[in-house]
Amino acid sequence: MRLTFRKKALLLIIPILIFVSIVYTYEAIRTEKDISRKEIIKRSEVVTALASKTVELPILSGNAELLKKTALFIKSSPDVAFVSFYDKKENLLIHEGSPFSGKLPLLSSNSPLSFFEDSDFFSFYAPVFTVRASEDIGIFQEDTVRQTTENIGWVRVGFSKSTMKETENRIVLRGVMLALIFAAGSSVVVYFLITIATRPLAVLSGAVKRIGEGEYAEIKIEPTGDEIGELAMEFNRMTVAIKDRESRLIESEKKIRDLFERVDHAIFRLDKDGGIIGTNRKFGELCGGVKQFSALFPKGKESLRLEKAVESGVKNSEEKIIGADGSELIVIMSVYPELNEERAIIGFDGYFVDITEKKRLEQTLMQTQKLDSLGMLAGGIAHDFNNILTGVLGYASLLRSITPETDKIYKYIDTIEKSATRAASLAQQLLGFARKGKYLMTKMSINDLVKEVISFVKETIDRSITIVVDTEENLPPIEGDSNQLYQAIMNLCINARDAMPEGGRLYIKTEFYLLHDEKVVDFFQIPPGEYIRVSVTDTGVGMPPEVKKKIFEPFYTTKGIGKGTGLGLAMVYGIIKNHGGHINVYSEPGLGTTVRLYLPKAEGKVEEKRRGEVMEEKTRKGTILLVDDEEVVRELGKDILEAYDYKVLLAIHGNEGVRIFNENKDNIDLVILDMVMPEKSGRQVFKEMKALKPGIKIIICSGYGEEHYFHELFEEGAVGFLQKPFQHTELLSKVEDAMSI
Amino acid sequence: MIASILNNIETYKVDKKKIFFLLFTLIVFFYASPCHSADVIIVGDTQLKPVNEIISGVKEKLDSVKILSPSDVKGRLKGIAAKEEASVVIALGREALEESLKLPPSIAVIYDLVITSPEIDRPNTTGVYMATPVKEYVALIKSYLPQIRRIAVVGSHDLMKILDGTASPQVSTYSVRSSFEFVSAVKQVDSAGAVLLLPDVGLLTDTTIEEVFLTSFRKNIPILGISEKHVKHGALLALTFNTVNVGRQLGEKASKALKGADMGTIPPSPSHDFDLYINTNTARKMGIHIPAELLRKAKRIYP
Repeated sequence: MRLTFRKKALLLIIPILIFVSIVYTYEAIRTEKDISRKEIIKRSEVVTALASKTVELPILSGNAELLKKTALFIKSSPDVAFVSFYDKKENLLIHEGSPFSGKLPLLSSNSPLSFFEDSDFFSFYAPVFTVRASEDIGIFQEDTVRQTTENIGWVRVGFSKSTMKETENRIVLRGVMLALIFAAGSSVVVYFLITIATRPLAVLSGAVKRIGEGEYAEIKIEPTGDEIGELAMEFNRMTVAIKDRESRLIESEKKIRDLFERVDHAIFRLDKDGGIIGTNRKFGELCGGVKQFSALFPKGKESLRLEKAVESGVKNSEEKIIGADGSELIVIMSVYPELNEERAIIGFDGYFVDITEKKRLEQTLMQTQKLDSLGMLAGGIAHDFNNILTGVLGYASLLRSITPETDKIYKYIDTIEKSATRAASLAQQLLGFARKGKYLMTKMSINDLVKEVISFVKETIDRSITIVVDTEENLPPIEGDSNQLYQAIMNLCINARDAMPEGGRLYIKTEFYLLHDEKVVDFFQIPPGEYIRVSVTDTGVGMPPEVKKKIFEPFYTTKGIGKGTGLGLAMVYGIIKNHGGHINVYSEPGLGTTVRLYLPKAEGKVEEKRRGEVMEEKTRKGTILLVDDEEVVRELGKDILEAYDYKVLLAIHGNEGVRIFNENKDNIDLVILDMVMPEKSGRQVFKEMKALKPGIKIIICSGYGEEHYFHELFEEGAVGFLQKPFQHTELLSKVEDAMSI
Repeated sequence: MIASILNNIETYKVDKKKIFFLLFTLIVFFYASPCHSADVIIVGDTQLKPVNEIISGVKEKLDSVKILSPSDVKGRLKGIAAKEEASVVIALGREALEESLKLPPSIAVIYDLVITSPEIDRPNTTGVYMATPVKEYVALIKSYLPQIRRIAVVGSHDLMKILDGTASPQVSTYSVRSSFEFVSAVKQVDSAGAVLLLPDVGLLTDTTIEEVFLTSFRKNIPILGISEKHVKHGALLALTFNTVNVGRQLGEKASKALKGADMGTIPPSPSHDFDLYINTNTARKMGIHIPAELLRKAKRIYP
């Protein structure tokens, strides 16, 4: 049976009340009996004392009638059972009342009162005295004469105990009745008091229960001002506080839940066996509705992660997991064991940070940096190579021009020139990869360029390959070197052709492309904006990822020996990057490859094409200052130009060039100025010469391609650009063009 | 003696003025008296006020007295008297009297402070007794309280005879032998206007007096007491002997004795003067008018 607080209180208090009642009643009865007895004894003492005074005269007189009268008078007092008078020799003078056979005890007149008790009576003995004056004068004077007290007899008064017993019985009966009434009454009162007192507790209990069920009801208890009332008030305050706190907790939990859901980390909670018991939105997006943690990992590795977490937790571990679409994802994983108070594992919690894209970007960046480094290397090599080739090619072409074709060495010289030209072409491709060599920037139509490429490709490609061209009309122009871009698109088409030895489909598409997706921007590493996209797609063999990673590296080729230089796509990459664009390759082995070129849109209109202009005969007179730190180039230039009647001044570096120019500025008609020189750059020399003679014609020359600042020099008056290495005809053509301006 | 007086002072805390007076008297007496023997020896308990008052009265009549207490002279008064060559001994009280009666007849014995004169065979002996003769009451009632026409005198037979209780027709006598008879006699008195109690030590116990007074008030019969104490306790009035006058009476008799008179020829007598005490409260309760003249005669009026 469930014992409520009220029952416990009643079971405790009622026995206490009964016990207290019994003890109090017993003590009260005992006290009252004692008081009753003492009262009777006291009254008896008084009666006896009075009797001892009253009986003085009768005893003095010895008159039997008076003795009897006095004895009856005393006996008439309540509770007096008998009265006896004795003379001073203890001879009984008279006895009235109940028979009393007891002998006289040993009495002393020194004791004013003697008390004896038996079962039925209290017996009191008192001496009877009379007072006499020792001198006759005493009868007249009361205060000075010595008095003589004389014992003249004894009085015995017996008091019945019946009245006392009746009183005691009455006291006992009344006490017991009162005890019963008190016990019963107090029990009833206590019952009601406890009921009243515990009623607020029941209300409190109900309120606590309701709070446990989530209902924050206010306790309505009359303001009693006592502890219960105070408790109710405090409870109500507590309820409000809890409600407020819970509201704040709910709000806080909502915020945390929102954060939990919004956060870009895939958060999960696991039970101790690795079962997934809680995830956020990102986890769902990333991993789907997977139920077991181990299912996220490739087979054979699923248990390792939790084992690590059990030991000390897994923190920022790079892992590969299976994504919601079955793809492999690279994530940073942290898993921590959740411990109870006994330090036993009750579960895990942790999160994934998806770094797949980041990894991809990193790899791209790494590839880009790698290609940039290779480009720089290739550019440097090409520059030096061009300087070397300038002498070989220049002198070969000069020698061939003065040697009759019938001469036996003409064939040798022609071979040298052709070899040097091939080498120069190779260097040119390297410069393209190194984003150099762009020197003829014009605003052109990409569709026209594509059509030009296709018209050439159609003539050279196998009939088993179907060419499809899809050009978007009214595309805005792009600004670039048409020769380089032509070469780039041509290379892509040639690669597509080579990828389809069994035939297939070559699909070329041009379109406007608005780049605004941040991820794509990050991936392409070009600014958002308007681009022209050129897609070259083949249905060829495609490329595996490992090949795809390396296709832009110079000298990497999958073609057989002698079939490719490995610089084609490297040059395309360099050209596109040099034009501020981006190149993207998508390839599926066995299905084909799509290469997309993104070229920034240019403002304005398409300019007239400059590529392929025909050199005309020009006037060949004047003084030319050739400034170049390469002796071979200086000597070659001098020999060619002097061979064609030009007066040539040479300077081995910038400072000398400026000095000579300053000394002969009135006679110098043209300056051929190398851009890359030690001490003072060609750009600085250009500016100084222009300052000395603003109208001076200057051809800028470089073993690299066209630099970005060349535009600035052209705007300031540069009249042409001479790419090393050059044949003597190219030099003469550039010089004559300049001189004719 | 001085030491004894000082002792008394300390023991009984006597009034200072009285002590001073007493000391002064003693010192004067001591130096005024010749150092040789005293003619008169007074034996009395000087701790009692009446004794001292009586002595003072004696001294008014005698020059040379020697005062001794009964305890001092017990068994040796004869020697002391011989040594002092005293010819007169004044015995105050029964104890002193009993001791004095053993003296040789040549020494006159004059006694006082006894209720009535005892039967004495000794020659040369006389005295003054304290009991007031009935006739004194009768004369007083007759003169000032005429509404009390009859007086019941209750006492022992001997005393009745000594005090001449039957001398007046206004008096009814009730002779009793015990206290019970005394109370019963008072209870039987119905026709008297007042009850006169005779001084009998054997009868008048405190209980007896209380019973008598209770009866007196129940019957509305006034009690004529024998002492100031009785008046104080409810008696209508009392005539008591004047101690100083008694002392003078004793002094006069002693003077006569010293001059050679035989005291055996002078019969014992009551006091010549009496002091009157009146309880006006009792008079009022009993409807008795006390005339102003009588009140003026009273030595003290109660309450």
